[in-house]
Amino acid sequence: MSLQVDAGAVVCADAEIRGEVVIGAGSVVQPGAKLLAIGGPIVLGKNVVVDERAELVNRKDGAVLSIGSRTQIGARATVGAVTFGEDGRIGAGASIGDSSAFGNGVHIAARTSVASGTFVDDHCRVWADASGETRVDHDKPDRAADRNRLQTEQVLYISQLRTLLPKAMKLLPTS
Amino acid sequence: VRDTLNAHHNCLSFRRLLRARSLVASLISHTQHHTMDDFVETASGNRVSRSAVLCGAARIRLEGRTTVSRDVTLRGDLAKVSLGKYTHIGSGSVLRPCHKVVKDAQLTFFPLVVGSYVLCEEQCQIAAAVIGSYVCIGARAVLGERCIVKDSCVILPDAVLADDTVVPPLTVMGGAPARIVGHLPPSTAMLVQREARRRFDFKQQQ
Repeated sequence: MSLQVDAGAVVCADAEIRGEVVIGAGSVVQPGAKLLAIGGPIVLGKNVVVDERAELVNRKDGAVLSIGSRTQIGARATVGAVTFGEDGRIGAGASIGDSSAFGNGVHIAARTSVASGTFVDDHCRVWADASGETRVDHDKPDRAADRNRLQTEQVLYISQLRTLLPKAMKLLPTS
Repeated sequence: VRDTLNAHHNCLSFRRLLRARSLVASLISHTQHHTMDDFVETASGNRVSRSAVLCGAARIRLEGRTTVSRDVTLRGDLAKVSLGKYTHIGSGSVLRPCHKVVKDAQLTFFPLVVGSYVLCEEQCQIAAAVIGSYVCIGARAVLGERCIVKDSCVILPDAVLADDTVVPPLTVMGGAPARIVGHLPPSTAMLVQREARRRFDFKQQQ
């Protein structure tokens, strides 16, 4: 297992980490998360939050599961071998199939399942409608204020987590 | 005329009672015959699975005869978490206190208060602020940040409550995003209380 934890990252010792995993500076991996780089490596950007019981599993040989900076991965989410852009948000319980690619600022709603091989543009919202079908909508331009608010919240949230988690949980050492 | 009206009204409320009872019963699987997991039992009757993760255990309060099943995550490190008596948290659930950005750009975590006789099924994700008593939360439900669930509600399985949702008492919420899909009679509290006690006592017999 080759784990590289950059400076300032907070990784709970609870988290199950296997294989080649790179955790960027300032990221937070909450207890119970699973980062299983079985086929290929997992690369988390800077200031990524991986919530409890989220599973990032890379089973595809040769593919890289990369999560961009400042992305928040919700609790119990299952993420396959995807390329996720920056400033995104994966809702709680969402499941994302392999070989997908997501642009920057993509928000995936809670409990949405995204099929393998999906390509999603920048600044889109992915959600499941009443019939259970997954839909992708481009964000309207007047949502910029919302996005700024979410980004500030994300920054504050991660700094609070970095302060609170080390007090209560055992952490993995930074390399 | 009054007699017939009374009879009709009684008939209606009896039917609603039956429907509520069947709704509650359908949510709670009666086949609770899984093997007794490795539980730690405290003096006040709380049952906590050994595989449950209790972060910041000093801030987690289990009032009495509460069951925390396997693989449950309780985040007491962020804020206080308190579970009422006879509450059952199903396996794999995550209970996390909500957070809010207050003025002058500060983020605070609010305590999570869960009432008594709350039946939370497996794999739930709860980031609510307050959950009342006699609430049934179906499997795989997601309660968003700062949700407030009042007493005697039923949240259907696979429901996703948006952030800041307030669920009024005696309501059935379902769907994603969750909407009010039904109403419940006041007897729901008694039904849920009975089921919560039954479930606790059944486990105790095992």
